[in-house]
Amino acid sequence: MNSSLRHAWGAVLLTAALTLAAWHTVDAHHAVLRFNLEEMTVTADRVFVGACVGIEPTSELIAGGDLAVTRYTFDVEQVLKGELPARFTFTQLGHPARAALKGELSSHGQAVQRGLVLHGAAEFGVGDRLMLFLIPSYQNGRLTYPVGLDQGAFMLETATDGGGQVFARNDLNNLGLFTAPFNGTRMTDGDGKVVHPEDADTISRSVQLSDAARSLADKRGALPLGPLMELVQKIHEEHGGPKGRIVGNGKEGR
Amino acid sequence: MRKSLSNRSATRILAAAALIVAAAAWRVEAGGPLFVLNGVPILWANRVVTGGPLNSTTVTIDAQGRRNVIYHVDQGTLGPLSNAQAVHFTERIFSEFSNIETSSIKFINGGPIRDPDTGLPVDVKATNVGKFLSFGHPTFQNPIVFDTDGSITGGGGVLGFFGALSFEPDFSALTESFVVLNGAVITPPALLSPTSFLGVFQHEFGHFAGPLDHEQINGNIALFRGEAVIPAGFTNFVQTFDLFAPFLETTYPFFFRAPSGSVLRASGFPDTGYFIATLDMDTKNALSNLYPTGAYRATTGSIEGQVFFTSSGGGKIPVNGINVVARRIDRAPYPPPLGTQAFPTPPTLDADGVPSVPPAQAATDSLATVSSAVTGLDFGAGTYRIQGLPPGQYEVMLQQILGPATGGSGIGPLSFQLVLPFREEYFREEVTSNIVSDFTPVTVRAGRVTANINLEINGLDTGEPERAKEDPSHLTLATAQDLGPLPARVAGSASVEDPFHLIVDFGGGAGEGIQDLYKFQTTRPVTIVWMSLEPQKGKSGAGDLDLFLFRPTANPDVVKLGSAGNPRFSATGTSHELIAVALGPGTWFLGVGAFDGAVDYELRVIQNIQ
Repeated sequence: MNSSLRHAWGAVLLTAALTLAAWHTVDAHHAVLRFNLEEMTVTADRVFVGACVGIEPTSELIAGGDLAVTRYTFDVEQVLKGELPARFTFTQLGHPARAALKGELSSHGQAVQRGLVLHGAAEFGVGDRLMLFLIPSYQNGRLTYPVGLDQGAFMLETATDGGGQVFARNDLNNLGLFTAPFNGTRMTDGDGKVVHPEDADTISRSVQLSDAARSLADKRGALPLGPLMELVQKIHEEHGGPKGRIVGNGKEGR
Repeated sequence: MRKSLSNRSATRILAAAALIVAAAAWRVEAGGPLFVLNGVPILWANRVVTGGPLNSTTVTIDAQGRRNVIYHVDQGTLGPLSNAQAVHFTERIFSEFSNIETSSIKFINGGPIRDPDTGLPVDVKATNVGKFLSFGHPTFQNPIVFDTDGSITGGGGVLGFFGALSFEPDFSALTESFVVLNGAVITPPALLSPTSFLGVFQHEFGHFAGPLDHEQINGNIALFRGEAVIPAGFTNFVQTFDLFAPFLETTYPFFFRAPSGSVLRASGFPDTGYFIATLDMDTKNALSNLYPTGAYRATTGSIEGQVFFTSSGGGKIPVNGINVVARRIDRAPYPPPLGTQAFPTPPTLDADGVPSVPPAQAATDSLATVSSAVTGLDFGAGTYRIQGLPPGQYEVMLQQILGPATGGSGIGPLSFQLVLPFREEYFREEVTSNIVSDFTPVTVRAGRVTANINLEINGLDTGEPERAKEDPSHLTLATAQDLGPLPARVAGSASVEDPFHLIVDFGGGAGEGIQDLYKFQTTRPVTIVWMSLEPQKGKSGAGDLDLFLFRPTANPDVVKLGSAGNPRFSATGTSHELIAVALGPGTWFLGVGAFDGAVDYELRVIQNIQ
């Protein structure tokens, strides 16, 4: 038997599991820098709200090899930054993480699957509504992922109190969105136009915002979507960006 | 793709496929193995491993029978570092692990990464990295990739990757791994200094080397975390950082910056990267536990015991997933007094800018001579064994693991860390103490295991409730059996043959039916609630039950895990399940799902004493 056949090609990709915590705000993420909302918005080239309508784990020939990727398809409801078709598919390295099966190789309760699993990546399913901040595509436009992996993926949930208000929350429970220092990916201290992590008023008083948007910095946990979108749009505007929009005839695009 | 769970006929099938194991890895220990299979740590293969298009080798066995892991290095630059500098960094990191005297595994530079198509040395870039990370076609090189400009990792803030590329066919051992280092983060204007970067990747290469899990000892205190028990007198982050950060465990899952006002920061050490560029005792022990030399267990001792809580009803229930720490205290007590300095004189720097380890001093010995384990290792439920301890007297303490230490930042086996009534407790004969100075010293002797160092979790209301019986039918949210005031205890039974209405959606197309549904109320602003499922003593029957905690759901048929209202579940491969969580006021549902067989169970819901 060929020796290579005696091996299982199980592969797992763990983002280096050391978190760069903003000082004094631990919070997490797996070898990924912490982003505040302004740097997250500036780092992303596409920010949108939409519903996931398809998840396709597969593989593609990228950079000379057959890499495990997942294609996520969204029905786009609103674009806050960039231009997107009404049905939009993006491709991310790795396959979705899942809990380990009984009797299966595992790490921290997660399955170590054949194929690449990008630990720390956002987890969502078909039917979920999200607000996503996607980084500029890399690998010749083939791949992207949410800024800071799961930090840039906000799950949207409707309150069950009958009011119908929609709230947004990322895997960090929104920690650090207004307090994490600029991490140097796209911005450094002093670059902030809206978010000032070191100040008592972490959202600048000089920026025109509704009371609801301004009060987001005082809230913990899930944030109301409407004011959050207003704030993201304001950040984008302050950095000179044009309004995001849905383009084309609604056909699927990338 | 996640399947719809709205179709009942489908849910039966999905329930049968509900294979989730939150705590499948319950035999893992802190700083222990990163990968486990059926509770067994997954190590590097203990054989010569050769394969791939170049017929290259990733593991050899030397004349002494030791594993030598052969890695290969990129030919490119790493941000501002030349290739020679980047290779030097890599060799330096691996040499730290190879030079652990009590560990037998060694890491050897096998030379440049070679292109699998040409066999020539190669600069791995965004244009060819797929050849080395290819799904299904490993090259058997253990590649260390220098992503010089971040084009491999993308611009989303990722510092680097570690990954396992191949295992033995039965997943019993690792045969190839890789690391990608993102040089963009040290490219001016740099986020990290090269020395700090060295520390970051000392941590990452620990995952490669063992592969090792994370650990928690001094890090929480250095970080002034709310979950930590901050020593008396220490009132701010500056104080804790300056004393505890130099003793930071290398595989503590969080990297952090020094606060303003820190003496260390003013001295040129702006973050913890500088201090994890050298290995701490617990990390050395973790690798030694997996690959022990003959002298390891002969020259050091171990402490073993069980962590448990006393249930309402009297029994002792072992608890997995608790961090236990042993600090040597025969030089000086723990904690050191405020004013103690890790570096009474400034540390010396080596050629790479890495500071010397803090000098040995009695006052800080408890920070340096310390090791840990998480309960539920190979020694039984709720049991820990801390190994590699130099002879002496120790203070043994249990700790709550940091809440965010899950997933890729996880410590130990649990998907959700347990919330304890007391964040830290100390071993004392008869009754566990929650006062750091009130403890019984534990003696460690070389080559010996000091056993029965048992710690009881205190602070739970273990008053005896009436033992309720299960209602005949309580399948739906509307008919969920009310457990009444806490503590509560109910005797029930569940079987895969029982009907169910509610489905737990795990995602990925997997779900599990809830055969028995209970509810209870919490009224305090914050209540720590422990929910324990155990098989009834003296009853026959075998199977596997799981436990789920969730809020009232908008959809009466499906509970979706991971959504905001559904905080916890426990689904080991047994019927011993435990959820321990802090809850706000409200009504909570508790579901018992039968994964396999039929089991008579006791469900206890206990709250903390106010």
